[in-house]
Amino acid sequence: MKKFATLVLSAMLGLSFVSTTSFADVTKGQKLFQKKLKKPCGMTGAKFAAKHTQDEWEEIYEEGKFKEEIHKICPKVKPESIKDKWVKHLYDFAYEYASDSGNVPSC
Amino acid sequence: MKKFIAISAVAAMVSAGFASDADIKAELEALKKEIQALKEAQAKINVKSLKRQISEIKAKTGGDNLKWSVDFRTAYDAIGYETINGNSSWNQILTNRLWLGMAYAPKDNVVFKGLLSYYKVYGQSVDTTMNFNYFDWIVNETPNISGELRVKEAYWLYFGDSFLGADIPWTASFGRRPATDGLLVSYREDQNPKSPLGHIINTEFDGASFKFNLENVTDISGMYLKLCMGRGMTNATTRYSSDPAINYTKINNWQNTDLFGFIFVPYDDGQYSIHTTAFKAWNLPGYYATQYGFDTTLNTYLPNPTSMRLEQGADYVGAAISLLAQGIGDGINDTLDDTNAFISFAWSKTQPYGSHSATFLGGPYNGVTMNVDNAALGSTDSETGTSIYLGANWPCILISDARLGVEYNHGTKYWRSFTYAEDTLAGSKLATRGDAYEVWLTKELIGKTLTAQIRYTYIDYKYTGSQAFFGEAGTPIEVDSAAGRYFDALDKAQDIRFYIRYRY
Repeated sequence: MKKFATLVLSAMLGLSFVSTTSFADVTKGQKLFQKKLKKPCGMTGAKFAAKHTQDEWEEIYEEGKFKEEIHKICPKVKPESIKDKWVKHLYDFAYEYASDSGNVPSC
Repeated sequence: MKKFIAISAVAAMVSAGFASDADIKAELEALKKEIQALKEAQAKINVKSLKRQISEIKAKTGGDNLKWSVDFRTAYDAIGYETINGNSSWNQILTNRLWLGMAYAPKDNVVFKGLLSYYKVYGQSVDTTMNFNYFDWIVNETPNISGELRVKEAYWLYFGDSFLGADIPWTASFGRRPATDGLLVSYREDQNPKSPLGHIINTEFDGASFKFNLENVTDISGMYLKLCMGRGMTNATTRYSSDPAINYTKINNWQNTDLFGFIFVPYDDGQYSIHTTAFKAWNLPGYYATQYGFDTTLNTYLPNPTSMRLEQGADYVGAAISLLAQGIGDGINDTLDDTNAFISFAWSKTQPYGSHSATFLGGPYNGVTMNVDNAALGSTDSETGTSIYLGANWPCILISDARLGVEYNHGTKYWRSFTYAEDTLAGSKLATRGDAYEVWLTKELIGKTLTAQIRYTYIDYKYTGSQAFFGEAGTPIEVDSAAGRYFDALDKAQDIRFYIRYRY
């Protein structure tokens, strides 16, 4: 059984440890907001996301104006300080918790 | 004939082509009026208002005023045990687990959340003894033989913007609170963390919480304090339990089992965070023998297992501190940016009280009945236990959209956690008095909607009683000792799990 356990561990660990392209998701966007934007924005992520409806966020994102919109909502955040690779994560988060999403926070 | 038709056609075309100017002007005027009317009608349409109305309807209804979510998991577990004398047993079970989530916010500052749960093993069971399957702390984390749908969570939240005039956003919440799969444990469970620190508390509770966000008044990122309280057991009789005229009276010699504590986060910048908790629980249950027999091999009295009764005999205090990094460094590479690592230390202390009546058979006290001090974890003294828990998880290279995690925890002789509801069928790894190792791989098959996980948990017990309650059954006996071999103590436990999970 010990041999089997070692094999399982080795096989699973062997599947890892090098860089990979990360994919967008809500949780990452939420973490990014908390880490990079929460303080300069002066509001929680939930309040930020609720500034627009899902359709509005979608329109802003598709028109390539997401960084500018962040700057509009949070004047202290300069658009150039927002890395391109953050945008999709932040957008996913904003869309998920938009004012008409129906999603509600937990505690 | 052909000629005649051609002439008639030409005449008709000419006459049509010479409609009067007056007719044309009249038609143009009519068209202009129509266009003007259309313009006026369009101007009256308030697009913004319509958008707002649609948004409000969308947010409020979602179909039926409650936003439902589904989390359905089909799992295969291979569970193995080995005793110190080399006896081993393996079994494989299949389970279905369904969580139906409900949420609704009728106002910006009031939220209701609920979670209905169904958890069942595949097939009809021939073992109909329920034991602790329906114990309130773990009922929704235990695969049962019946297919009930139960309430796992149901609570409301009130959000306040300021507290007593201070710039302290706060929340109050009452109900069956989300007290399972808390922070750190949430990684292996592939879900957002719930309220408590998963290292030391992972059980269902009916209770309340009050959270105060302190970052605005302290200017320290993410600082908050949350007061938590819960009732684990009630001392009330049931309706019509004895005399139909008297319901919900106190059960003799039984107190409420209550818990009170706090979670304090001194710092959380979204990447690096510190989480602490401390609590006290009163009147904890445990098994106590009413009969002790003298064992000539060990030369001591041992409780007669058939005489064990569930009673209350101890209070308990616990605390934990967890350090978490959600990302290592800043922009070194994508993998480090997306690596989570944590280390956590927890502490528990028993406070036994009271006594119970017991009869001694054999040995020097043969036939004597007397009061015996209640023991907590088998000791009449106050005993301290500690545990360390560390882990890391990161994106996998060879498999896209997958994460790999490794975890380790160690508990000392008298370590006792409140992690009875931990989702490990072989027994809570975090309750281990000894060492537990784990590796897991979670893969997104269709985004977050369809995921799969393979997980291997290996537990190496150093002392018995890891999974027991707080009385004599939780006595720590060294597994690799004469007494351990005499009782053929459980030495190792393994759990290999594979699941596929649908969430929407």
